[in-house]
Amino acid sequence: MSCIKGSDCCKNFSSEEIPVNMHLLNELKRKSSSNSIITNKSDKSDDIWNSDSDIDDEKTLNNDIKALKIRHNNKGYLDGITKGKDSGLQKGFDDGYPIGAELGGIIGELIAETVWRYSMGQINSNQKKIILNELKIDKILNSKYFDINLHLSNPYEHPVIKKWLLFFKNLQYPL
Amino acid sequence: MSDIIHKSPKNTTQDLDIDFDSLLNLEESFYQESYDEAFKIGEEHSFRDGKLLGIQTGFQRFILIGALKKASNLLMEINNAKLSKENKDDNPKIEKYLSSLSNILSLINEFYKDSLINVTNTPEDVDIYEKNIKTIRSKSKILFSQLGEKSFYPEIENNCKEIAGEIPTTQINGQEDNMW
Repeated sequence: MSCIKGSDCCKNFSSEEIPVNMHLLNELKRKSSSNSIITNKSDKSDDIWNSDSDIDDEKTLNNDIKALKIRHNNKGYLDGITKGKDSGLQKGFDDGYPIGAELGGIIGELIAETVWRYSMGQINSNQKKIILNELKIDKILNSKYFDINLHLSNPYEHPVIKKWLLFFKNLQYPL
Repeated sequence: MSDIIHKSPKNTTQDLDIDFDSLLNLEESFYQESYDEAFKIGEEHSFRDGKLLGIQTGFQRFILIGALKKASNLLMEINNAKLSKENKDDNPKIEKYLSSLSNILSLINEFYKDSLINVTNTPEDVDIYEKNIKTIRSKSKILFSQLGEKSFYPEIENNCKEIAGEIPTTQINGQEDNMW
């Protein structure tokens, strides 16, 4: 707070009074400087606070990154598993479709032959029933006829197909 | 994370050496690393289910094709044999019928290669199937009847339906519910 020389706030002081005041000021300064330990402590204390702040900043940064990682990992996982399942389902379907089509085609041929032979009286109703029962989808697609990857190398080697193809081949009646 | 922030031994913020490019893509890289791993797991997990469904659907879709191929071949063989024995004038329409039967067989044989059905689940193959199955079914039904085998077609279709079961209407391209 500065004041103007000769202004009201200073005019009551005599010239002698000022050195006294200066002395007091110097005394205060001396005391202050003699109390250097406190001053030093105070400086160190400031350093310590500064260093802790750095560590806290770093911890906060790491925690933020961890949280970010967890959040985005979780989102990525959920999206990935959903898309992966869709993709796997489609890839599997595309892989299995031709195998099923091959088998279905052969079974269809056996059905037509069974119906025809029956209508011609070449097989009886019981034989027809047995054949058609053995050709049912759940029996033909039984996992025991497929390898571990659900693959079937030659559909004509399928035991049920082979059995009934041979049966019709050996049937004594002509078409 | 160690790839992104390299710390000096003092571990102070000022000493952090940050790869800013990686930092900018941090969210994306966290997302992607997890996504790729989960995608593989999901794909492996559902592949088998998809394959089972594919085998079942292929079977259900092509059983009638196989049946009509055999039926058409039988009728062709029998009527050709008849034709060679009988006078053509006795049944003037038979040659026309056999020609129609031959056309049906041509459509059916589009699905075949080396005596086996050879199809994929590509949109092109599915389109061909959708287009041909309708023609094959409707023409066979009429023609079998014209050739004196009125009950042959419905017998075949009913048995195919019974043996293959109903076509699932979900997760498959095309109008499977209208197949029969």
